[in-house]
Amino acid sequence: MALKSSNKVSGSRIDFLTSEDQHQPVLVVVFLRGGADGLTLAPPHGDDAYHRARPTLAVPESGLHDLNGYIGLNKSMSSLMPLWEEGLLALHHGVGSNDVTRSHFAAQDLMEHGGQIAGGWLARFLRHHSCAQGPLSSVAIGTTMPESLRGAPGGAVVQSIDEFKIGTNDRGAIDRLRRLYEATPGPLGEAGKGTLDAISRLNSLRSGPEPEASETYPDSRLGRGLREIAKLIKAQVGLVASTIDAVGGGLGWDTHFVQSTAIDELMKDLADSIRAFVADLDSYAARTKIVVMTEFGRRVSENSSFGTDHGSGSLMLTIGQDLPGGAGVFSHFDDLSSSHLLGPGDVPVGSDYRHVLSDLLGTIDANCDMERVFPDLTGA
Amino acid sequence: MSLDRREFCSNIGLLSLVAAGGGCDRLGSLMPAGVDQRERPPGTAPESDKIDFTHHVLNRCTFGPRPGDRTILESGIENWFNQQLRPQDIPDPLCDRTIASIERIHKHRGELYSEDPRILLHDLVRARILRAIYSRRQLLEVMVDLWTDHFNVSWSKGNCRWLKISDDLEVIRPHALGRFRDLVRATATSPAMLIYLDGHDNKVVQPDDKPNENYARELLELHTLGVDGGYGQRDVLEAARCMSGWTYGHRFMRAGVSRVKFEPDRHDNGPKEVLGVKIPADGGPNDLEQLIDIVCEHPSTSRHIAQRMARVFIADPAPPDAVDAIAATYRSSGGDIQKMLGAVLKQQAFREHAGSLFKRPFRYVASALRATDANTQGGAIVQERLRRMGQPPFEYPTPDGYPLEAEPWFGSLLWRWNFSLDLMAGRIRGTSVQKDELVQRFGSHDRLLAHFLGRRPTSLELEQMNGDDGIAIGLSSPGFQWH
Repeated sequence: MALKSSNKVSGSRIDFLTSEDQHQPVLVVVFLRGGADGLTLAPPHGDDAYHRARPTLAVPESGLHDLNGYIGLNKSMSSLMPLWEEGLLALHHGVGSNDVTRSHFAAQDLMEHGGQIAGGWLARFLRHHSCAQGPLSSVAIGTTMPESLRGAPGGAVVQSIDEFKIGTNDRGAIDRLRRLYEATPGPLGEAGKGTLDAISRLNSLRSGPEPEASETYPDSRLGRGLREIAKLIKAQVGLVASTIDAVGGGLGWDTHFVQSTAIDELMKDLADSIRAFVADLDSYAARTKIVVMTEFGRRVSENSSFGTDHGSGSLMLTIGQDLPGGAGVFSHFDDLSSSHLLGPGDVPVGSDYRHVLSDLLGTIDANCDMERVFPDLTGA
Repeated sequence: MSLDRREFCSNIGLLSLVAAGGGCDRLGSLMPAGVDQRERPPGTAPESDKIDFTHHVLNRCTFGPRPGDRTILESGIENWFNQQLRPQDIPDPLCDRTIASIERIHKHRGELYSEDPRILLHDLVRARILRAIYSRRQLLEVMVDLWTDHFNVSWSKGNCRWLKISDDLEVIRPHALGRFRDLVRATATSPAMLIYLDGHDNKVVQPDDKPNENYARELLELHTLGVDGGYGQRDVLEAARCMSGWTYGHRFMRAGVSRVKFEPDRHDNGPKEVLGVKIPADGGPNDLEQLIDIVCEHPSTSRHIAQRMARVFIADPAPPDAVDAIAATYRSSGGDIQKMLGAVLKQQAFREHAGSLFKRPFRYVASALRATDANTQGGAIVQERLRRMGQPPFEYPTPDGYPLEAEPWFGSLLWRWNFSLDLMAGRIRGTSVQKDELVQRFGSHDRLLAHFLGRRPTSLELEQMNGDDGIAIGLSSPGFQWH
């Protein structure tokens, strides 16, 4: 590593707060744990090999929206179609990591670390972000810290933003801290006041009326979680990156067995939640980027229990305005006949998922040195 | 069925996982509630309006003053300091017993692979926290902290999850107050380090094989000479050739063999030249020894190490005169860490910079628990607080270690305040403070505040630090964020 740029930060955003007209870009990561079947989310319906390999599981023409004559979007995710039509959605098909274990644990680790390296890719991004990180820079919604935030400059795992408070929200303590930090010159005083202001903004948000759009969120862990993230973004309290798992009941995206019973619900929840999130964000959506990713895709051929087994390449979705590389379908395979497949019959990994992430991170902080975030990544 | 790890974790929860493994409960033997065996000397508080030298020395050479610590230093600061330089001669039975009771970290290294690595991390961090708070060998702990950053190995890379324990207990700790060369030598054959910096994969088997340069580069850039230390790409390559062939195979670890080994077939045995010094062919494993001699004797290394010590003990950025003096001691003593520490304390700059360093989160938590003489198990809850503040031990991802600058830590204030407010309100399970007794030991609330701040509180501070949560506000205040 080159240490020239070290850990120095500009300190220009030491109060951690921004006003509406200059609000900062935010990245939201939705992780589909379990290895989502990209071929069902975005079926390559124009490929005969796909239909041959999946006599029962291939999505029929009536079950999808055609996007480019080859790839379609599953109708369970119809609520993403408005985003597609507005040019806010990109599908990256046939992307993945160089994982060879096909183990959830190993593949998730590899993907969330961003290679065979220590710490998470989001953590390294935040450590080397060109602005100082505030108390609410990175927030994971859930119950355990995801590996992508391992080593972050301060990562909070919460289920609700109600957990962000000072002590028990006792007015007296808050006022006294304010008096002490207001009397403190320099960056520590600024940081103290900025922190107090951020919490006070969240408090007024809590006491205010519920935003209308909240009613359109599905009542699911993902829907509720994204709603919390939207609140944080709209409160402008310095959020830079947030991550949330899309996990349903049962085995989630790990659809070895009678895949169709499980995955339709999951896809609908995913798409409806994201659609509600974007609508809820309203004008804040302009600078929010969403990436949907999974640790690996699944075997092209279905198995004998009408499910699919662990594979390699899968699908990533990126959502937002001015996506790097633009909106559209970016398929890194154009033929799934057996000679083109990887190993035991996996969707090939035509592009490294880190290229998608690194391009996206560049829109969040153009000054971050991507070699420090993904040191193992070669090629542009 | 296959195991979705997130689902698994969220259902079972790390806390219960740890409890199921016997993590927290077994420690009860250390300090069972109500049978706290620690001494409770009366508190002595500083009485001047500026941080005095005694408090300053405690701030920098320990993880913060405990109530009775000033009294100990009254018998002579120099005497105390010299004792701290010889931790092996300081009896510390209570802390030793506690650490010994954390059984997993003392297991045979080969057996660790059968353990859940998250529990191993919990146990190792717990040992680190308890030592920082309770050990009487405080200078040793401060130096362990310093070298842990300098020779950073993140727990989270591959097999480091199982090997970090050995890196901490057998590599860093035994040499933390020894000679710098021994420390470099020990880290160079630490299994965790070889995994972390890909040294295990540095091999030259065919004549045109390129060695893996990662470790060699960090050895020069971070561990010894420093980025502007005057080495070039050629030196990195030659150093990597010297280090080729040192590896470790985890298959053997499972069988209980925990030694890193030198494999002659993977070593480049040709002649080499590092930093202008020639190393003849056929040196085999001795090439590593020669390389370490060369880099440790290089003048840039003396400055680079002096720089870190000055930043940790004196001021950041480091005062140049102090760096020069400490570097000169490095050179005259052959990298004797004790002598360098002696030089640190003699610097005028040391005296002049009391209270100027911003506490990093680990120090903040340790100093708060020491200042209040808290009873803690150092378990998962305290560890989670450290993670929120951004400094859980052993988790910094990149080889440069947790930053020493203040700026990256200003974002952690919210979690510091909550830590103190929760601590004093009894909301941190497994950690408690005898609030009334603490005030009594100092004779007054104001004197307790002076003990926190290292000086008499100002009238504004006195006003804000009154009442029920006054102690918590004191620990949350700007004054307590510095040391």
